[in-house]
Amino acid sequence: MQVKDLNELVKPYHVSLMVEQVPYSNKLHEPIQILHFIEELSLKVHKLLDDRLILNTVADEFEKRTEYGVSVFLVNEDGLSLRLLKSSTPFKDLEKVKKLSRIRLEKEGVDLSRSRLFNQVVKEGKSLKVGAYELLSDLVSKPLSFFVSKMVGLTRKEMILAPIHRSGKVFAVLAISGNEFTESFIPSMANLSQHISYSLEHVDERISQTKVEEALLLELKKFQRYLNTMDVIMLVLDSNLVVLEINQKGCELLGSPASEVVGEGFVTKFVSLNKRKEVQAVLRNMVSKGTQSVGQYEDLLVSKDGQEHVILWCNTPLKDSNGKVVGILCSGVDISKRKEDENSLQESYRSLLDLVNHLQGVVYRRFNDREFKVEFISDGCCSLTGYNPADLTGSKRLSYSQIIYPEDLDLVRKKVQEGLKQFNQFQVEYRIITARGEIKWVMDRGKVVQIGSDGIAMVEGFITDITDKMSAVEDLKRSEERFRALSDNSSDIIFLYDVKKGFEYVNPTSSRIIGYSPEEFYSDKNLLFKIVHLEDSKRLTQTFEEATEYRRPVTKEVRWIHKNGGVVWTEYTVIPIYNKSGELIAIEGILRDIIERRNLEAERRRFEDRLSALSFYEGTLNTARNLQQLYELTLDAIVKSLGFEYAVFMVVDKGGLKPVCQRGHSKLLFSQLPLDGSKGGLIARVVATKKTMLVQNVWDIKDYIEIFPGIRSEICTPVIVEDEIVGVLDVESKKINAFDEKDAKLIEILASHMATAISNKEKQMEIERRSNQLTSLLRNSAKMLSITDLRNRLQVIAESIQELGWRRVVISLRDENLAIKSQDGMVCAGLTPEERDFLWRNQNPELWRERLSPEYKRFKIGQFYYLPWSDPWVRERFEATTIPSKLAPEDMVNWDPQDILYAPLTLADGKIVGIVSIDDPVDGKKPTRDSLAPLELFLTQAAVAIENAQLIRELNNATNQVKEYADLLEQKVDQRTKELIEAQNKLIKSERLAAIGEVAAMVGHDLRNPLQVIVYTLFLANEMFKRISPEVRKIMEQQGVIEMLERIGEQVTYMNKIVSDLQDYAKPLKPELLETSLSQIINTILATITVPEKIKVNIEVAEDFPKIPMDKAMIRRVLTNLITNAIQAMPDGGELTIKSSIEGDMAVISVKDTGVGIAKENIDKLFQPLYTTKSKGQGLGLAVSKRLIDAHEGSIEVESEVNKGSTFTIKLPFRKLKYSQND
Amino acid sequence: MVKKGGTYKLALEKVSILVIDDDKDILKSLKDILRTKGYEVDTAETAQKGIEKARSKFFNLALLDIKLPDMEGTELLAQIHKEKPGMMKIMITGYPSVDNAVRALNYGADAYIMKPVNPENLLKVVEEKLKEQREAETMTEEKIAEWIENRIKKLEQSK
Repeated sequence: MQVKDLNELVKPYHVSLMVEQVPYSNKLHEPIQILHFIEELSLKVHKLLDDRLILNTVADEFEKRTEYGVSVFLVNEDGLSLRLLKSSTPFKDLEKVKKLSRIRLEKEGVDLSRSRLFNQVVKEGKSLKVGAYELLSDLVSKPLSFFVSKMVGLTRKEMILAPIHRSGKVFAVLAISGNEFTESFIPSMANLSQHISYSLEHVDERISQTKVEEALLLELKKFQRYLNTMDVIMLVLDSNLVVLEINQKGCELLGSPASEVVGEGFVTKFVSLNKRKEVQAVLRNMVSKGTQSVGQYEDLLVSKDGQEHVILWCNTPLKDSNGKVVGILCSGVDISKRKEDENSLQESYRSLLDLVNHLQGVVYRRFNDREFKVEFISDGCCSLTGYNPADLTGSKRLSYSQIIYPEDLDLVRKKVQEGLKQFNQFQVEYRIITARGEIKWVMDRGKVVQIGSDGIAMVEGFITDITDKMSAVEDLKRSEERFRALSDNSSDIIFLYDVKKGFEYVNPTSSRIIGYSPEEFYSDKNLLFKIVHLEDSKRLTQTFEEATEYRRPVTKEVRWIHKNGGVVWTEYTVIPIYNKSGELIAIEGILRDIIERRNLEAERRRFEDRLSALSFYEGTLNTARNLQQLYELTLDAIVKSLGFEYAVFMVVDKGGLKPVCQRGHSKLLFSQLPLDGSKGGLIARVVATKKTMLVQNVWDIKDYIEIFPGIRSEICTPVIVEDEIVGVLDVESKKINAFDEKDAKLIEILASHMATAISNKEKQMEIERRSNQLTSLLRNSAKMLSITDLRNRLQVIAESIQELGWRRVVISLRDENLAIKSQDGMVCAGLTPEERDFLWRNQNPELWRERLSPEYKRFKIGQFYYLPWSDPWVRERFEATTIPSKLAPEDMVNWDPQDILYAPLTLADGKIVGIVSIDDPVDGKKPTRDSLAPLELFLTQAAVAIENAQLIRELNNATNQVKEYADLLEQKVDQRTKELIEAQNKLIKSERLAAIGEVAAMVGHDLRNPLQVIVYTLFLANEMFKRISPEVRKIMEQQGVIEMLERIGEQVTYMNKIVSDLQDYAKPLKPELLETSLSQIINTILATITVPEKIKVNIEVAEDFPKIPMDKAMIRRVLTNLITNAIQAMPDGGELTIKSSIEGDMAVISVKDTGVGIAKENIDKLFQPLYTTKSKGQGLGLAVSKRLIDAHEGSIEVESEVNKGSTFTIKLPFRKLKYSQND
Repeated sequence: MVKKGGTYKLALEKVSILVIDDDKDILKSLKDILRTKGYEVDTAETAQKGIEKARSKFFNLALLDIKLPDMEGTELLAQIHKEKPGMMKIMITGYPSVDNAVRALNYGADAYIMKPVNPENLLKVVEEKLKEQREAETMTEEKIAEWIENRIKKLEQSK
């Protein structure tokens, strides 16, 4: 036989038949597995979004997993010819054949337009099962088909051709070939082809959805770009913390492109080593617990170049439909800069602390309690007490009270409480025991301050070490002074003789008793031996020898020759003085004039009394709280202890002498004395010579100027502190010769005590002032750190500057042009509202630009500009813009009230963000670099505060943006999840129903034939009865055989109904819509049903009710079902009501009974297949009814109450249905 | 042989029926039922056998199951109709497939019965169809007789 064209010969069918020759070992066999397979496949194709892909998948899966052959044919546009899908299995096999038989396959697909069977499938849109051979012969001529069957081996007998629909037309044909198809496979196939059709139907829909999603993504990207400009880092992590996505900002920060970041473990790769554990824990926690709230935390990221960035994170967990966390959306802000600024603020705070800590002494803040619990104590604590500040602060080992020397503790408590009560401050000296057990003297000065908003009273103070002062050295010095004072005024000759150098000291009494002055002794080492009485020279030596031999004072009577030749009797005492190694280094000698002794003793006692009185005062001087008190105490000493009547103390002040305190005079006659002597001769001379003047009679002095009326004699002593005269102590009397040298001496001693006290006081005041400044700095810095609001922070800074001794402070926020942005941008302290307004109105950015220009550089002191009013250049420029000071020039020391002091607030990069101007110093002094130093601290803080506030504002904005974005995303995710769940449920439900359908079809089909046989057999039996003899018939009737057969007949009828229902249920439904009269159909039904007499039937359906488009047979079945059910529900009679109405575009038909009703829990199951409340119900009746109504795109519902009855309501659309018959 | 004798002749012959169904039990019980009504019954389990029997033997009527293992019922119907158009053909169709029924009629079936089959109904339809067949045959015979009579009359007139 000649074959001209092999292409003609080998039609695709043959190829599909070829596939079956390959034996598959692992393929599916069992029908139920096929069912599962088709189910899976259906699910799979539903997920695909491409026509070809769907068809290819079906072909592939069949090839891989079943023993059936499959090929897919696409219908050409003309609707008749078919093309074989290139990728489907047979095509590949065709290629194999090509090799064997040299077939040329150039075109895609093969023309099948001549196939009758295929065209039938395409035209009718229904599946066909055909014999393989039949199909073959349909395609080629008989001889050819014989040849082909021989060539490829026709081992499969049957084929199913299933149409695949799209947009109401057959789009492709699925050809499945197999040896034998079980009956169950056919509906499965139909089901599969339906699924495929459905998937195809939805491809467009889903593509458009994808487009919407893409558009959304675009929107998101836009938003992301926006976020990029907002400096927000965006990351998406999966549940293993692997980076899935990162935005541009994140890439920039990490210094790597997205491709290097995505797929990496986020924590292990990018988080700084020391933060890893912590961050890992936070993120893992989020994954495992799915905390919904937006968590914020900081961590360190390391970029490629090794730089660390501080990131503030705000994370949201991403969840799937089951609520499981599948990833995390992280958004972060780089706050490294802010951190740096915070650090620099902390740094300045630290430097302040350093300053405090390097003070000679200890600054502290403690609670006002009995234990002196310390809240803060500076590092000086360490050197003073030997304890670390940490030992004392908080509730640690020690309270401060434990350090105080136990014997002093009560006194300290008492003095502190008294001081605080009376003056709100205290000063107390006491001893402490250091960590090493040393005893130290300290002076503790403090006052009460209110801290924080709750106003807790705390004690702040300053402790200085005064051990030195109180120490033995001091005592020695004092006793030496005393010794000198005593010895100088002693009636005895007292000397100190150094064994090597000779006389170290001889008191002036020597001149008086033996006529030789101290100077004469100093110049002659052996003078004592020269002037001793010859008879006593041996005794002189003996006294010395005995004293050194026994190492104790020895006294003997020794006579001396006076310079004027007379003999002087004395008691001579030698006191040997040894050094530490026991060597004799000196002797102290005392010569007592035995005759004069008694007279002199009385005078000496009086002097000593007064001296000791003065000494007492000296002690009290140091307790003076201020200078004025010190002056008062001094004058008290003069009046009360020395017994003088008039005394004045004048201080040197601004080039003149100003009386500050007086006794005896009723009032001061002058306010100030010039120092040049133009007004007071005597005092001026004292000031000039720095020497005490004793005037026995003022009239003796030519240039004496009478200041106090009636004064005749006067002692005037300078009070000298460090070579500077700080004041003059003036004691007067209205008598002549009222004072002697001793009085002058006492006043001098008093003046020297006073000088020491003044000096101490001044130093103390300076320390106190500094410590107050520093504690206030300390407090305000701490306060500032806790204030986030910019304006409040600046206010605190302004007030702090005030506390540092300036009455007026203005801080203004400036933009790049140095203009003040708003009234809020100006913070003042010490200004009246009018002054503030004046400044606001006269703010002149140009002027300020000029003021901060290099032209003004010469006025710079540190960061400040100080413009003295004395400079004409300055005066000329600022006359108009400054607020006239309310202060008078005379209140100032060297500050002119119109002087100008200001400084720019500059960031690290040199950008000016504000200006501080300061005025009216409390001390009236010109600023110096030192005095401005603490202020500079505030400049830095103010600048940082301003920048911080701006940063914080930006940060808050960014955080809000991120939160909004996260919310949006969450909403989106929720919505999508919901949609997915819905789709899934729908799918599951339809799958389940489809599966039930399969079973129903199988069961129904397999029962049909046996039942038919029973029916036939029963008929035969009945026929037989008719023919048998009446006798036998009678016996059989008696035996109940006839009745039995009838019963069997009834049951078979019922079984047949179930089978019909099952098949109904399984059958694909295509209602054929015809406009039908409702009342007519109801009448037809009622005509075929026997309604028991006990049941009353009400038909409330209008004759002219609009015709409803319906499949008559289907709706008839449904209504028959409902009416039969209703009747069965009323075994004891009742009412059956059928009603109709219109709701929108729906016809509503209700069937109501007054029967037994349905329990609530059963209502939901009512429409499920094989559910019934009756022992023998319709089983599938309602399920079928529902299917039929669903096929009409209508609805069926039930309302029911047990023992009251049920109402079934059907709704059918009036509009034309989608699935109307095509042909 | 002329005049109404033809009908009589047909009535004397036993009516024969061919039943094609793949279920042996169905075949047997249906055969018994038909026999009780005096029909002669032959059966076939496949379409192919059925066609062969129809070719080799005369049947007044055939009962065809719509579903057969080797051929669709409609296909069988088409083939059998082609060969024996005079034979009455009743399709027994699956429940409730109007499609099949309509197709059956289109392919030349004279009637269809839906499953489950009520035997009484079946017998009724069979009898009806046989009656139709008889009437059709009578009609044919009568027409032929009439035609011959007319020819004869014309011939006589033309003479």
